[in-house]
Formats: sequence, C-alpha cells, structure tokens
Amino acid sequence: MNLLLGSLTIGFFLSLLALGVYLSFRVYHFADITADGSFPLGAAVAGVMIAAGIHPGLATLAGFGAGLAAGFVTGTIHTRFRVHPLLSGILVMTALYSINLHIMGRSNVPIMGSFTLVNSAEQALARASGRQEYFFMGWEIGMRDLAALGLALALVAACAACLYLFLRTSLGTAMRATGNNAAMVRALGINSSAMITLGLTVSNGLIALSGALMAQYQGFADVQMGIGMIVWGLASVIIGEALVGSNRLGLALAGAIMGSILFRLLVAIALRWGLHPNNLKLITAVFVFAALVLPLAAAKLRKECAARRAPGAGAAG
Amino acid sequence: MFELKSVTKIFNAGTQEEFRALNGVSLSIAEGSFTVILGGNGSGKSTLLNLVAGAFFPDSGRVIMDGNDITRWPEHRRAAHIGRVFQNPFTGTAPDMTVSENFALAARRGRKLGFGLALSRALREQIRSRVSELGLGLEDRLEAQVGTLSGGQRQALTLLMATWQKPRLLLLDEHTAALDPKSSDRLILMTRRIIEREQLTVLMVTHSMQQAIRLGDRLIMLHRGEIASDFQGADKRRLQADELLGMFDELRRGDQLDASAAEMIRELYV
Repeated sequence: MNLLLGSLTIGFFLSLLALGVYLSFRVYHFADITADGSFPLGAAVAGVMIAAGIHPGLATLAGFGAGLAAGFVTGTIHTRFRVHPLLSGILVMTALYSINLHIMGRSNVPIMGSFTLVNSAEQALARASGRQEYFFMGWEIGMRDLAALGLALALVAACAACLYLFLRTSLGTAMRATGNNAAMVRALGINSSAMITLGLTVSNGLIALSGALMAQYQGFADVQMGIGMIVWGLASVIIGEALVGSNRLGLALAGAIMGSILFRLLVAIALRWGLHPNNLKLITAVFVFAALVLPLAAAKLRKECAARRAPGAGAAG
Repeated sequence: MFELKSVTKIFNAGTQEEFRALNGVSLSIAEGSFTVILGGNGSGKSTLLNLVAGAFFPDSGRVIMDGNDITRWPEHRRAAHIGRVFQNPFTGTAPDMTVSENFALAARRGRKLGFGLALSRALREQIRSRVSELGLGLEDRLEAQVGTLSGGQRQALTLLMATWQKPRLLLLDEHTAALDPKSSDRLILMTRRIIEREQLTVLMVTHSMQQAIRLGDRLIMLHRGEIASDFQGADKRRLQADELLGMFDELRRGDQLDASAAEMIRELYV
C-alpha cells in the first residue's frame, strides 16, 4: 500500500513535468532536453532556500521562476541565433549542471527536517485528524504519505486548470497555433519567435516546479536528479495519448497526467516483482515502445475485423 | 498608397547559382485598385509578392506603405495591415485547431494578444454568421479540426481570415493554383464578392491568363525580374487572351534572339 501511495504521489508530482514536456513536445514539436537541467534547477533553488529557512511556498515559487528563466534562454538561443532545437536544449542543460552545482555549493542539499510544503502538509493533517496513521482496507497508511498525496493532488489539479485556461486565451491559442503552423501565425501578425520562446519558458517553469516539489518530497535536492527526466516526461505524454486517444486540449492534458501516474505505477510494480534496478531504463524503453505501437496495431486490427465482416469492400486490405 | 521603389532581389549572390529574381522594379499601387501580376516561371512574381509581404527583404530599393518606409519591417509587423492568401491551401490555416480557433486568431490580426478568452460567445456568433455567408456549409463544422477539410474549403477559410478585418492590402498568391477547376471557380467568385463588398486594394499573382484578363483593373506582366508591360483602365479592359499570348511569345522569342545573337557574335569574333 505504501508502495502504491508513494508511486501515486510521485506520479502526481512528476505529472507537472509531463505537462511541461507536453507543451514543448506536442505543441511545439520541440524535444526540449533542457528538462534534464531545469528539473534539478527547480530543486536546487527551492532546496537551498528551504535549507536557509525561507518559507517553502516562496522557495517553490522561486524554483518555478528559475525554470522560467532557463526556458527563456533556450527559446532565445533557438529563435534569435537560429540554433537547432535539440542543440539549444542540450546547450542550456549542459550549462545548468554547473549552475546547479554553484547554487547548491555541493552536489546534494538535504532538507528532510526543514520546513517544506510536504512536512507542513503532514503536520497539518496530523493536527486536523489527531491520529498518526489511517487504516484502509486492512492496510496501514502513514500520515506523511497521505498528506503528500493530498498536496500533490491539489497542486497538480490547480496547475493543470491554470494551464488549460491559459491555453484557451488569445495568447495561449496563438502559442498553440505557432507550433501547428508558424507561417500562418506570422501572416496574422503574430511574432512566431516570441511565441516559441514563451512556450519554452512556461514549459520549463512547470518542469522546474516539478523538481522543486520532488525535492521536498524525497527530502533532498541532488544535482543528478534530472538525468533522464526528459525521457520520463516523453514516456508519460506518449502513454497518456495511448490511454486517451484524442488530441483535444483538455483530454491531452489529462492524458499526460494519467500517463505519468500509470507509468510510475507500472515501474513500481515491475520493481516489486523483482525487476533488477539496472534494467529500469530498458523497461522504460519497452513501455514507451509499446505505448507508441499498440494504438496503431489496435487500429489496424479494428480495420481488419470490419473488413472481414463486410467482404468485398476493401478486400485488398 | 503602396509603393515599391527600385527593388532588387538576388538569390545566392556571389555563387554559381546566383539568380537575379527582381531587377530594379518600381511599382505604385493605388488605393482601391486591383492589380494582377502575370508571369511565367522565374519571372519574379512570387518574389515580388514575398517582398511586399515581408518574407524577406530586398537587396536594394524600398517598400513604402502609406508614406512609411516598411522595407525592414518583419513579416508579422506588416501583417497587421496586409492580408495574405497563400498558394498552398495548407499554409493558411492551422490543421490541428478548430475552425473557430483559427478565426479567433484572425479576428485579432494586428492587435495585442492578451489573457482574455479567445472565443467569447459574441465572437462565436460572428464567426457562425460570416462563415455561413461563404455558402459552403462550414458553419455546421465550426468545431471540426481544419485538417479534416478539403483544400478548397481551407482556401475559402483562409480568404475569410485574411479579410476578416479589412486589410490595407490583400495579397493573393496564385491562391487557386492548387485547386480543382470547380473549387477554383467558386473561390474566384468568393474573392470577387469580398473584394467588391469591402472595396479592398488587391495585389494578385497568377499564371492563369483567364484570371488575368477577367479580374482586376490593372495588369502587369513580369518577365525575368522586370516589368514587361503595364495595362490600366480601358487598355486592360480591351485585352484579349490571344493578345496576351502573343506578347508572351514575343518575350520568349526576345530571349531566344538574345541567346542566338550572342552565339553568332561569339562565332564571328572569337
């Protein structure tokens, strides 16, 4: 049960990463490697501020702001200097590794006992309910796990709603259109370069926010915690699309969140069943491949069944 | 109110593929006029249109709009005043967004983008009524993704989007070239109707002699980056298809004469 709750909670915190990757990857067709750098950036900034005693809400916001800055740099490098999208992301990610080390002063900042959002949620829940743990269907659940899950759920719901509404505004609609057809957008008087930069800014802000929250959940900020995060994000988005089957905005966002949770759960289950941790990345690749291929295979199967039921119509299929 | 002053555009300057697309072209477009630019391949007609639109800048010369020098204005800055319909039906609309969303953007052409909801109820009503005027039944498909529509339908939508707010200048870049004859005719009819109703100033590029004769009040023939002939008013109305064909032949023969004359001179003196 703890495993389940833990996976759910992490899945929710990382769904902000998935939302950020959705924005850069699906809306702008930009595989933004900056994520590997902006995720620990958010963690580093928030971690250092929390360790110094600053209010975690403020620290988390600062982490978000740092991510915004990172995304802005990537966007500017790409649009202003015409650097290839992948390269732009790699450049910033590389630079961020050193910057994160500078921010933290070392490779790891522990904040387990500090005043973090997760700890305060845990204390608030303990005070409100007056208990130390819950019993659910015979399983014992710690306050901390429940509080963390509740916090994650609330934050993700709020962020997703904000993102959805933002993408329905004129500015958000222009951003989506830029990723879809930049030529049209320019012919309608919209600065496509500015839109791309704005999109990458928001995307990395969300990713850094995810990092800041993860650091508070796991109790430390580490300079290595971003490695491979873009793959997690992409996997979540792709699995989410396979689940939801639509690219309409609201459903796509919900899909990204669900994909993040499902993916995290699948990995946790695989590890519980004895999967060697060394094989984690291999399993990740297999899952993503399956998520990419299964929807196509299912559609093909459906078409063949329909053709068999109506022989003569499209018999060549 | 739109002027091109001695614009020159050379592609791949200094290399083997150097190509002088436009050579010192000067053109003055009056308010409310409908200018058709006719030319064969390589005549420079698309380059001319792109220069006006701002897709790229001339190597020399100036582009002037209402007395303002807009030569260095980027494309999106000019687009506040210029409506454009592209040759490719897929360039004018965003395929993964709905018809309504496309119009939501077109309705704000040139205005600052804000945090207001893109599609208000009032705007939706406006979109519905103006789209139904097109007579294509698209008002029932406002929430469909544009990518599911045909090329002709998308061009019609692009035309409406380009003229939603009255532009200072409407650029038509061979906008029926990629359509089947029936859709092409229907689009031309729509184009004429909108132009007449809104009293628009139009610059249209075409390679169709039929369109060149039937549309507009001014015909400019481009050949090898220069203006070969310019018919206005009564002269244009009197033009017949065979006359135009004759002119085209003469231009091409002129080219050949140049080439063979050079050959002859080379043989005699070298």
